[in-house]
Amino acid sequence: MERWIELNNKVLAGTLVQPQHDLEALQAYFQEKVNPNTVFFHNLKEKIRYLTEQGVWDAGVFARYTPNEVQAVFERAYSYKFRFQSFMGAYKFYNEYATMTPDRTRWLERYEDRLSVTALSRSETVEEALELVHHLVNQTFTPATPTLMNSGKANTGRLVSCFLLQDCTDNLDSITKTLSFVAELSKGGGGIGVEVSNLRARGESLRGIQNVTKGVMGVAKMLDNMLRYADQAGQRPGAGAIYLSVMHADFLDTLGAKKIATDEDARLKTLSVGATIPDIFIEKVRAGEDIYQFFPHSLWQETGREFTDIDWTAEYDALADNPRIRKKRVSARRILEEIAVTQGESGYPYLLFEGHANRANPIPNVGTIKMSNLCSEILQPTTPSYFHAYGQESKDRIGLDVSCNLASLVIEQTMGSRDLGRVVGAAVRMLDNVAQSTYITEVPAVRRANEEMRSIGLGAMGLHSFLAGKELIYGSPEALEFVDVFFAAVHYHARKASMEIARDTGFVFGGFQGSRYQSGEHFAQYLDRDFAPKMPEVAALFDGHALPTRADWEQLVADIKQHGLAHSFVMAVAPTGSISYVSHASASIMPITEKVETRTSNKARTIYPMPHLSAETEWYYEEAYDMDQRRVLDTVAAAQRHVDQGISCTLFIPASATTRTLQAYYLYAYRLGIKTLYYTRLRKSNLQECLSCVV
Amino acid sequence: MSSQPFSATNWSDPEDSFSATFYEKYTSQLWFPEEIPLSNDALVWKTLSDAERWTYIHASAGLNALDTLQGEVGMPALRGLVDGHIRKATLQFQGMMEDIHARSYSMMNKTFLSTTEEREVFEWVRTQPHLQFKIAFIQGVFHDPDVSTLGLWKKMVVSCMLETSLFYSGFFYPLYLAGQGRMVSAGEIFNLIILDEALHGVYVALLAQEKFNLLNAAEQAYARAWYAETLQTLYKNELAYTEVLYADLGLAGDVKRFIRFNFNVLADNLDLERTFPDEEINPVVQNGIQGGGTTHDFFSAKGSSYSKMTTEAITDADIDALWSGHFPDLSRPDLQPGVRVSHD
Repeated sequence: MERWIELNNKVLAGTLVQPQHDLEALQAYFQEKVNPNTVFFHNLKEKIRYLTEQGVWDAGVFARYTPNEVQAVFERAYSYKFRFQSFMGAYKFYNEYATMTPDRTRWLERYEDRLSVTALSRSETVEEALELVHHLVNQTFTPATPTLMNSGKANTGRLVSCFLLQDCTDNLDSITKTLSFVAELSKGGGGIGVEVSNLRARGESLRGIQNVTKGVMGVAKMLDNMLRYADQAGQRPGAGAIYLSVMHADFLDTLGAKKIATDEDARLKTLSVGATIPDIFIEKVRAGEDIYQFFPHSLWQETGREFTDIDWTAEYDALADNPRIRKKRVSARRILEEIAVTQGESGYPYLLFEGHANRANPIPNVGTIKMSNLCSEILQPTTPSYFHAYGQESKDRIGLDVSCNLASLVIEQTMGSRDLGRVVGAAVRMLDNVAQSTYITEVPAVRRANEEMRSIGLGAMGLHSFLAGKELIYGSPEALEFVDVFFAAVHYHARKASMEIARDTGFVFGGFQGSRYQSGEHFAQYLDRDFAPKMPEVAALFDGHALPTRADWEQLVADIKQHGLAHSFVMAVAPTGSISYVSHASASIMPITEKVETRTSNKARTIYPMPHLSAETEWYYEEAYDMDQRRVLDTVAAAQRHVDQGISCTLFIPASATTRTLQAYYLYAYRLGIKTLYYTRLRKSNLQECLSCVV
Repeated sequence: MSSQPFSATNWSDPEDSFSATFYEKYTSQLWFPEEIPLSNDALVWKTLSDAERWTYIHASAGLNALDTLQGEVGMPALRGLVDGHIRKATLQFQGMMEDIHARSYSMMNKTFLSTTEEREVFEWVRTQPHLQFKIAFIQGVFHDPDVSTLGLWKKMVVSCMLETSLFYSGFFYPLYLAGQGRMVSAGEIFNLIILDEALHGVYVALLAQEKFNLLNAAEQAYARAWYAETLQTLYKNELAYTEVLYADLGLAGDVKRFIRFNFNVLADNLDLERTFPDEEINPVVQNGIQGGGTTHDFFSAKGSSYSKMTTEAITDADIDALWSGHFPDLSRPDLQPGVRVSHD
């Protein structure tokens, strides 16, 4: 038993929570594990020479700079005397991010080294690198895991791990191609969303033979297996989600595959499921009416159109009335209830409210939004690809998939910098570099999307820990106003940086012409009013920050018209797991789930007291399960107004809640205009609670 | 024809204040081993040393035998002797879960072991003297023809001993490894089993307390003495069993402390005097038995936090409230189903 794990576990083992054991664990971890097991180099020159010769660091990165410039970046990184504030943060960083010798016994990099190399590799000039290393070491923002882990390394994984595929169209060649794409992306550690609504349903015809097809589940099972098989050389099984429309005849079958008591052949073990929900479905739920679910092949035979090309809300009545299209009738409320039951049992499916996503789509000229990703925060138009058999590749049509490059602002440090614009500008430039450095040649539609659209997603984390530190209550009117003002300002600066990159480099993303960015419609709310704080408590938080005014927005909209934008999308709020521990921030913009978290992973069971948790602040760390979830949804809705893509939004409910509660939350979220709901987490009543209501 | 007409189970007429709640809790946490991707651990399994693998698999095999005993002998014996349809149904559910637990252990064997190794492990169970002594001793109490209040109390007590104390020499190692991030999926199965067993132990202990309170002073004194003696017999046997399982790993001392800790939990549940002084137990293992859900790396482990959900339809009034800018009052008693566990 390692002493630091034991000390860390002592935080919770007594009758009182004892956070001081966490600092003891942190100290023991450095003194007994990290420091004695770090490879020693006499100086930086020797370190760089050794690591580039060993093929650990990419020599090309250092060739861009003079030795003095490289030295300056490393010195700057070390000058901040960064110290981890929790055992969990240090443990995560040194286990998952810092490079080790191939036998994983000794470290080759310290925290400052990893971030210096990241800054150098994600910059073109030393000025940029010095600026970036300042932000990275001080954690004003943190890149997504693959960027932080792989930047500047020779022969390692990709910088991006978030992909959306719409390649799974309704023929065997496209299905097998999709499986091979998924395997390729999964072996490098990707989270992959796959749209499957165009697949014909179970029991449709194949080559004219009736009632033979195996439907969506057949493909889903193969994806499920493939993701577990291609597991980054054993490091971690792949992760993927399929998105299926509630209007698809196989929807309930697929939902059943996530239930607890399901036949093994019909069960999806690790594959996540997302439900795409058009407005018409919610209208039917509201009216308490039945809805038709359609068979895609029959639909295609009758109309010549793919399932995802249908605007279900506008065209529903005509399709429902057409007797030549095969469909089945089911109560809309029953489907919603099934969704709630399955979420209660498994956490899935995610919900994507297609109508909201598309009404806010800034580039409808490129296409409609039909799917999301593994964490339901990426929302971009996709277009399907069509593949043909070996030897007929010339007939292939390459559509538009998505590769998304993510980073998250750390709210506390961003606010503490007193210069939000500087932080956001640096983050956008780093993400721009990530997009430009990524070439997914194995998946042509992903490569095409990255090259033409260069989408990025800047999010934020640490909302709850920031609010608690300022003695504000999560989801209170003050907190909601903070979220509104903060995300409006982030949006302004992110968009401005994107415009400046377009202006300075001449690169404008494909599809800007004819977009709602070009017309200015996408920015209408900012020309309508100022997003400045009204409450004094909130205004005080923004002291020293220059917040954008209506006039600033007017200027920006004009500049965008003139110069265009370099990125089709700039924002998305991801759930943040590992990087929020490293950055000592609560996850994403969600409330904390436990004041002291017990986390089980393939590395260890570790205990993590929330940032700044003390007897004084404890009161502000209300746990998510104890909250009325409207506070979570109101928070997300406030941010969503300023986020061009989506927000991973988790619902937290006690096990005593019924499906009615969940359904009320879905509809409340829909009414607020929220685009997606991520999974639902359930807290079981524990034995003590159970007994207290018994005896 | 029996003179006693046979009655149906009336769930709206509770036999006590807790049985129906336990039953509902069991249905809500019903699970099957197929839900956990055990094969995720297959590679980790290969990285364990021979000694580690030996302890892991033999500890589980011992548990398999004890769960089989509970499912086949213990729970049916209690079910046959307690009064009340709801109580019998609750005990029957517990018995079924014991069999599901036994099957989970067997699935682990199938996943990690070759056929020859598997055969060896099952043969070990049949011949391991401490394990066989423990089983024979407890079986003896279950089969004891004395079905007086005192006799029934004894049967309940040994059932609780299994659920609350004697299983834990086996649970220690999987908890210890999972706490260090090894064998995490199998660790999930153990977590689910521990959640079940904790409740089983408490439920039967509540029934036992009832019986104990019916005894007169002399009987109670006899019962206490019998309890102390039985406990010592099984405790001594457990110490020897622990040596067999854990000595090579250098963990025997930690496990013995854990056993004493769990015997004290047993005493608390039965409302009897604790046998052992308080000791600090291994914190990693202690955090492993704390019943609340844990935060998971969502894409690599299932988590013991998901459960069957109570269904309740959304109503027109709810919809009207939402569409007029309000939130429905979900707590209105007229809309709630008859019996529901509430923790609000």
